[in-house]
Amino acid sequence: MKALTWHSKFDVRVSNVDMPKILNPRDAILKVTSTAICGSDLHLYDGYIPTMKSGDILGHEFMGEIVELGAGVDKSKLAVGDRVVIPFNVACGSCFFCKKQLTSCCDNTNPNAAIPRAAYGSSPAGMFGYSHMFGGYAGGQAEYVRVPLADFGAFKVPEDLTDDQVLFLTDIFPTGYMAAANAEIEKGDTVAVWGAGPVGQFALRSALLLGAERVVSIDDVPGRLEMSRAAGATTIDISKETVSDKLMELTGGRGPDRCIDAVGLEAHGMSIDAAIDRIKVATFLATDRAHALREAIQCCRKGGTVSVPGVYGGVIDKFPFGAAFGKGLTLKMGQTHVHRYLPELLKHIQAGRLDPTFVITHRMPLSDAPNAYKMFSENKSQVIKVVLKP
Amino acid sequence: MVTPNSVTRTISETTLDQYDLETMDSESPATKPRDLQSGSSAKQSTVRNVGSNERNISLAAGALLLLTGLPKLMRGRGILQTAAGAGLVYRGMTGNCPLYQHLGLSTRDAQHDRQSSGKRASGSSKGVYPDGNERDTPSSKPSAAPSEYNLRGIHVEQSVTISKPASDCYAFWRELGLLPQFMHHLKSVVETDQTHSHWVASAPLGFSVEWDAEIINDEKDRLIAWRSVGNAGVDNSGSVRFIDVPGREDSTEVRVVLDYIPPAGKLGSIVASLFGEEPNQTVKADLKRFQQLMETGEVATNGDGKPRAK
Repeated sequence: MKALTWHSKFDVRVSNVDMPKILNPRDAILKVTSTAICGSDLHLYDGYIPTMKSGDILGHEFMGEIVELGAGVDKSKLAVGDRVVIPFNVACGSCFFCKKQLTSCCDNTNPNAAIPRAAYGSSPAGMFGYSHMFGGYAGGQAEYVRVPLADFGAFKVPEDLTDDQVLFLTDIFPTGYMAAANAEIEKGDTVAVWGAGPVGQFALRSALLLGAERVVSIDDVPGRLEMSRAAGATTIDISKETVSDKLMELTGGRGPDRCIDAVGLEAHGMSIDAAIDRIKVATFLATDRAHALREAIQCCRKGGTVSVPGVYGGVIDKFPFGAAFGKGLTLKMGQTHVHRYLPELLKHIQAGRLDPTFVITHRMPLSDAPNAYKMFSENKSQVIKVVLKP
Repeated sequence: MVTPNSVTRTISETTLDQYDLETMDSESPATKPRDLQSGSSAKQSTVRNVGSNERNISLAAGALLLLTGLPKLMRGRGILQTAAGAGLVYRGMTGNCPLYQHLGLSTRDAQHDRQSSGKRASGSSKGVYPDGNERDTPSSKPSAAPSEYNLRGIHVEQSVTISKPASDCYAFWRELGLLPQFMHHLKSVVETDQTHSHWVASAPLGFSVEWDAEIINDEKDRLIAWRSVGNAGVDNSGSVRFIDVPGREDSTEVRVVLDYIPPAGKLGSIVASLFGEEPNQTVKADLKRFQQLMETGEVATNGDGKPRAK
């Protein structure tokens, strides 16, 4: 079959690889009908994520049709022929964390748990196509993909919804939504969102869905700010305005009630202690990148909430913890518990309260995926979301 | 409860092979491995610890090195090559590898030996000497004394918390034959009766070690404790406790305490650690897989990252 494989920095290819096989009783094999390139795939493309190996299949946003089931799959939940979306994190549904709906913290799905344990103390859940420290699972930018624990990790979707409408339930819609949910939005709140990429877009729309009075979108890419305005957001172009001044002006000198950092520390990537030198280099790079989080803490009103869906991996230099403490802020963060939010978001889509297709700017065949990565990497103003068809 | 001394022990043939009776010098029975390892003044016998195929290969390769090395030696070169060749020829002819002996390893094939000396196939603790007489095996050393665990043992303590009742965790663990499902260094565990079992574990470089074990404490849903008996490849003892977590329903803390004496003392551990087999990490990974089995019914795998591009 064909799959998009990673070989080194800026080197991804469409390769012929073996078909995936059922390896465990609760596995399923999925025939992929749609898959997307995530902003976090660019961290891999740019070579920031350690423990990638040449030949790894990428992709953690994908959906399709079940073509084969392992003997242990709960047949009341899943059958061959079902059309499903697959959360990017692999979760079991039965461990302490899954029972608390913290599925991105699943205890049982990272076969390489020892690597993040060394860096983080314990390992988060495994993910599809996202390096060996996060599980080493083959990704879904392919014609077929193996889905472990499929009776918990595959969600059936109604036939009357198109792939484009439900594909982003796999990652960026729940990620933006959890960011807004974590922000603990109350009536009358102003929510400031740093970053107007796909996650920022879903975060600001989710904030409005959850009752925010006003949303402020902060970025420097004109195409993205335009997309934010289309949703009704006030925008701040950081290349033209001073963010803190503008936010104070917009909120009558109090500061935004809720701040969402949808930028993350890209330069840090997912650094681990094994790459100490790299972290040191990255720390220097991050003095700019961490700017969003520092600014969010600095601008947030007293007693407000800073919610962080942006990906962080290593250590942060000059973190203004005194400001966070002094103002009594609440900080919430983490990888998305996709399984938890997916069902209610599907209902929002069905009810027409949010149509995720707005974010799609490009549709390309899987065979053209290397070109899609290049475009996405080089032209952030025009290319916001690319959907690939195998 | 079974008292250890009352137990009739079964020594496996392959375990015997490590410290074989068919020594090159039939006058001196095999030195006890304990003596070999501790480097005592006991005379080191030349035990046969190399399998027949490996012997033939050693012989052929050694001969080749010797034949090509000797002419060089005449010209003052090829010393190492000739020495290596001589070593391999010795290894091939005698079936004794000093390095293996020092590491407590053996590749000697039990199957072949069984065919060549039929009487030994019974697996009894009797040995057949080259003179054809059967005697009690002098290598039937006793289990390691507690002091040896203190002196040379490795101590491991690890725990994991599992969202299943203690009774489930105990029941799975008590079925010893299932242990290799999550203890990946184990090849097999066969229960020979209610309290006895035979264990085969992988050692570095594709070798294996074997031992017999007995359960010395067994409290349903709470505790299993065991120790190796007799001439164990790795003397070991340990326990696993299943503790209800206070205030959390169906949640069990599984605590493992393990003590073992590695083959060839610390050297065995150093060798092992070179292969990523650091004992605490190994036990931690085992317990993690036990958790996966208990909570999800399977051990997580990524299929070695496959499919992937070559």
